[in-house]
Amino acid sequence: MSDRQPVLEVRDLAIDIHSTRSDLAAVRGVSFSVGDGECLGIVGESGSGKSLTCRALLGLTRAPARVRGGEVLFGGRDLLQLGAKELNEVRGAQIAMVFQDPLSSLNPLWSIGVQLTDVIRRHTGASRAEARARAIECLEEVGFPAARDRLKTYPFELSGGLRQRVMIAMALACKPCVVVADEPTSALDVSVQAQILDLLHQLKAAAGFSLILVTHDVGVGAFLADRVLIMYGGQVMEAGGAYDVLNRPSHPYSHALLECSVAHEDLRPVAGFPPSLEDMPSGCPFEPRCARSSRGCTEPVPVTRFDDRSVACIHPVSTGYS
Amino acid sequence: MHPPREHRILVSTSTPMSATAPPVLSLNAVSKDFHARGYGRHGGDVLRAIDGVSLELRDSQTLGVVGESGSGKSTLAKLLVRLERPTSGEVSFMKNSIASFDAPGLKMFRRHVQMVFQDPYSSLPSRMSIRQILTEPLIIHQIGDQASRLERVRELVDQVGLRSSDLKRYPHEFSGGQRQRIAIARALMIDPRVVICDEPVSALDVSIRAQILKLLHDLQADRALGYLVISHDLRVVRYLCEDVAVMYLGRIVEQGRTAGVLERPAHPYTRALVGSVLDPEMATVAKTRRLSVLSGQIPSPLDRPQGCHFHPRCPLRSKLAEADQARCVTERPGLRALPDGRHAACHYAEKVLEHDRPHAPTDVVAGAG
Repeated sequence: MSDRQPVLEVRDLAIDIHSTRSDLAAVRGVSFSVGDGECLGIVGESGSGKSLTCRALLGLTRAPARVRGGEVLFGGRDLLQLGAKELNEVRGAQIAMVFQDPLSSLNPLWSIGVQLTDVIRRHTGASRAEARARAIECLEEVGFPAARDRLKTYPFELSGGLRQRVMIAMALACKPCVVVADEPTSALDVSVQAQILDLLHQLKAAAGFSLILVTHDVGVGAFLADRVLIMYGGQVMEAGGAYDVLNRPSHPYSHALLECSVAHEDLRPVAGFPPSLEDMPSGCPFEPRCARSSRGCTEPVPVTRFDDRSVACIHPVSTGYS
Repeated sequence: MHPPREHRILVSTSTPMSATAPPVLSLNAVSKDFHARGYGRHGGDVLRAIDGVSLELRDSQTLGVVGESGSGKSTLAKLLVRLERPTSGEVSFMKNSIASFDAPGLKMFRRHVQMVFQDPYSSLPSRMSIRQILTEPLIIHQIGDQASRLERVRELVDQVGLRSSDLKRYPHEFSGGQRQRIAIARALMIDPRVVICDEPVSALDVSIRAQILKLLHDLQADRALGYLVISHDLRVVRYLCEDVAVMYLGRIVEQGRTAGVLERPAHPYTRALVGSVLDPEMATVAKTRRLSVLSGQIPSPLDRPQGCHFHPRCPLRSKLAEADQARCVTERPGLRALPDGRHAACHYAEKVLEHDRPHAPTDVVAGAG
């Protein structure tokens, strides 16, 4: 695990999606921890359960999804057991979230100044003037130009990059210790994506919060994350140091994912497509597409640990030092 | 499986065949204006989406057009297939202006130029079976009889990696990747010479994206298709295209061989674009956590900067002497040829080339510790 003190720990998280026929297991046995000041990248394709997992951390699981089991330990408490009132004290103040699409997560009817001061006043009880000053400070921290004069602007007046800066300012307004960012740059252009990632990296270094970064783009994960968690079919396939995992992937799925992301001359795509929830293999979710699968793979797969890595595979590509 | 790329590049550079054959599709100083709603009532604001772009696509050439949103790349695709008409300049197919085509002429044109769209959910008709979707182009162009059409459909379905049993199914029964395969098969049914792919894999997941890219690549190699691939993703263009044109605010800022342009950009914008690509490969080597970050964002096409469109964001400009800086503001840089055969629209392209490369080994060493 991490050499740093864990700030947030998730144990055996399981999330079901209720359907008319049966409950479908969308997330199964996901465990991880985030150290102080660390960036954990959760990487996976759509349907891998990465967004459900990070929403569950903040108690944002909504029907038809339902948390079936597990624990989310934060500050000595299990967040999954908290009531709405207690959760609201944690959310926004200690754990904050940055969503993918800033246009739909900002309220279109209120100016950004009102939305920012609202968050600050709710969590700190600051006066209007104090909150306004803090709001300007937050916007300046995230590189929002001419913040003082632009508190009255509305989200629609801003570009995608600036909106995302406002979202980040809002998330950081109460100096949280954990920030969960769900695909923070997927809706942005590449040059703006570079700006936002650079900003997140600098802010993290300056403010020292822990960052959980959810992304489908291995490149984004590789850029920011200290450790990565690779998810597929609702399970963790591989976890470990970002540099190690991405340089020497051990799980065949991690291997395939990297192979697909690089797109060099001899692209070797993995055949087939991710399993649907109705049709989830009983063992390793990657088994039907995996070149290394054997009969044992249709049974639930034990997690192998070596170095600081954990791999859910009985035929890993590489183990230990090589 | 597919021929090594180096080989193909060698062939096309050593024999200047491609340079002498007439272009299949060409744009000649094409501009496209849109009148902004609520602005232009008194002959007011005009949004120039494409600004004097010239481009040629030859038989079996693979050309990528790269740009961010607002760069005009999708308008370019629409102009090429006459879904939009240029405000000035000319789009030609085999040296004939496509604006002059009457209905039969247009039909002939569409026979040779097909398109694959970004979103396979909205580009396939939901009430037609796959067989109907794929047979329709053959019926429209009166190719073959019923039996040979079915044979052709089966053949293509097989080539794009679907099964014959899929023919009676409907688009909603397929995943995104499979639908994109159907869209590709549809475009290829009538053996076009050129396929225009507008963001062909942007809507797809990583592992599926790789499958579709490989499919597009193999089909091109097998059939010597011409491709015009429009993408915001340099990785897609690097994989599929031998040539690339980089667009910024409606103009081409750099154009040339993909390998050369991406490895050693001559325009500051290309350089920044290359520097912001997050390859897992690059990032794992460069634990430097450094991206070449551009300040600001792409300006509104309604309010384009004077001179060089890129000058307000240009990282090179601040390093120039003051007199040289003024030139960027006053004088529009034309696309000019550089010694290695590529074209760049920067007054100081030579300086960019002299400058260290965005991923020079020194960068990595410096930040590795």
